[in-house]
Amino acid sequence: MKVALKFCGGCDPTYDRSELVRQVKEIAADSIQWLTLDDVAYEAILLVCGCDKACPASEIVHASLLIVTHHEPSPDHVVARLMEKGKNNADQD
Amino acid sequence: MQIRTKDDYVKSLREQGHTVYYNGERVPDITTHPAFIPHINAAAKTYEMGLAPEFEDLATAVSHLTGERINRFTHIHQTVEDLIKKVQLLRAIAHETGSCFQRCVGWDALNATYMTTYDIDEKFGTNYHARFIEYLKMIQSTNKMVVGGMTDTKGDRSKPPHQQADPDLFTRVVERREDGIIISGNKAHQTGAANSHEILIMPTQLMREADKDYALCCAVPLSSPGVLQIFGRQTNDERKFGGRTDAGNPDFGLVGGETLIVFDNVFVPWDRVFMCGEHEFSGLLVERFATLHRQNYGGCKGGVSDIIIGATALAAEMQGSAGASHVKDKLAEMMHLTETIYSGSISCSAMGRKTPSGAFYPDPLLANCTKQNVTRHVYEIARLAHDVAGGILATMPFENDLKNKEIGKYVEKYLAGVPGVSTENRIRILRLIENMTGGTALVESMHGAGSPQTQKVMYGRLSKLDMKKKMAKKLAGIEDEPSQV
Repeated sequence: MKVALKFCGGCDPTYDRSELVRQVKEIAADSIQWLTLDDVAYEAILLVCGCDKACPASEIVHASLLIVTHHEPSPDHVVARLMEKGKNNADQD
Repeated sequence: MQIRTKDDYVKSLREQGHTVYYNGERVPDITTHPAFIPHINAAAKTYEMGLAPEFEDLATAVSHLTGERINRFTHIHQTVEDLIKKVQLLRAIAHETGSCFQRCVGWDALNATYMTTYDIDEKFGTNYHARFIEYLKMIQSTNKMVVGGMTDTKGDRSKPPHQQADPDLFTRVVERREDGIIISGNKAHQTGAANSHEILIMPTQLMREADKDYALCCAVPLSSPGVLQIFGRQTNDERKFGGRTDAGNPDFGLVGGETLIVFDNVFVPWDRVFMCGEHEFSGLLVERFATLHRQNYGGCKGGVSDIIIGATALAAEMQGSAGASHVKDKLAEMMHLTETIYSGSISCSAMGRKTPSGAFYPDPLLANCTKQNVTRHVYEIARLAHDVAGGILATMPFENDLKNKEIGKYVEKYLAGVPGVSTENRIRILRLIENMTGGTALVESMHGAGSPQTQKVMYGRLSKLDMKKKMAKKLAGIEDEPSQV
């Protein structure tokens, strides 16, 4: 599955965004290929935000957008949600 | 060459060969000198974070001139959102450095000059704005670091520039030539100048007709012949020369790293001159630069204060006082003060407006209030940090005492806090607080972007006192009388 990774700017984050992504990548291993928003062929977007404001969210329109804020429970859950979004996308295809 | 990485930045500084003096000696290479490395590291964060996915949403922008993605420190604000992102970015970088990272001053100079050259051309039919845009494109494409040069030493403050005993106490045009101008004078307190590439010189105050030679805005490479810098002494500066524990924040500066810049008959070609005698706009340029710079302080000092709060909480935990209600209350007060200055910066940005040039500008009254609060609240935050940390903050032994074979065991034993925390770590946190809350570090919050009185002068102009009196009269049922003020 191809996922574009985008961070908010990190002005005053409530948790360690880099550490969360490190754990997500570790859990996802080879099941996710990580891209950026500049790439085209991604199936979902993971937007990692430091707080509920989620500043970049209003600028991103995509059917499979997963926004993570500090309320998101765990990296396992993030990976599961991403895989679910990828599956839904495939179903739509 | 475009400066992208920290290595690019350091290499560019090494190669530019500008003239910098430290403690009576010329420094052959600032990139290897321990007094300059912490400041270079701090400024380098502005480059590094522009390349980091975790920060690029704030640290980069799209140039309205070229459509290229650029470092935000070279961007002209195009929206209110840009103004807000500026403040957010400053807080984010301060979290990484715990100190001034210097590059906002040049950014503010770029924005103020952009707006004002447009206005000068509108009135006088000059072509300063077009010239400035070409200069700005060069800065955006090369990603050079610019220092905003406003403050002259001013000599006798009771006299205007042309009445000074020494005409160079304010930076001035000495000669106008066909190919450019010759300037002399100085700029003081120049944050980050030793590790910048360019200086964007602006007038230090409103100039009158008699002082039109001092109504000067121009850009000068800091490696130009006739330019030299003398680095300012800082509290405990030599601690950065040795061990890491005593330094408190060993990798980054105590403040911005300020210099006195001397211009001794420096040639500036016309394509780098953006105001030359149009004294009518000197006050506007000063006011815009000051407002843009005062906008910042709740961002950067808010971020620095976050570190002080974290360090203070840790110091309390390490000595077993974190559970005391007065300690909790003091930490809460520090948080309140920090978010108060941050909210000021955000509010003046949110109330920003478009200037005739198209560039956006923060609300000047709110920006001035923000900076005024910083002159008070950062001192109070430091006072509370000292209160919670205790007298040990000022009496700790040297790092070498801790390492000494004979007496180290006593330092270890008697400076211990709660079980499970090493004495060395406790000392490190206390040294960090000491580094960030004393001496030169505090003065930066007082006088950076203008002394407190300069903000109060602006209140008189901007706070609509007549309207306030009118509203009071209306509620009190007082009819207007011609004799009433």
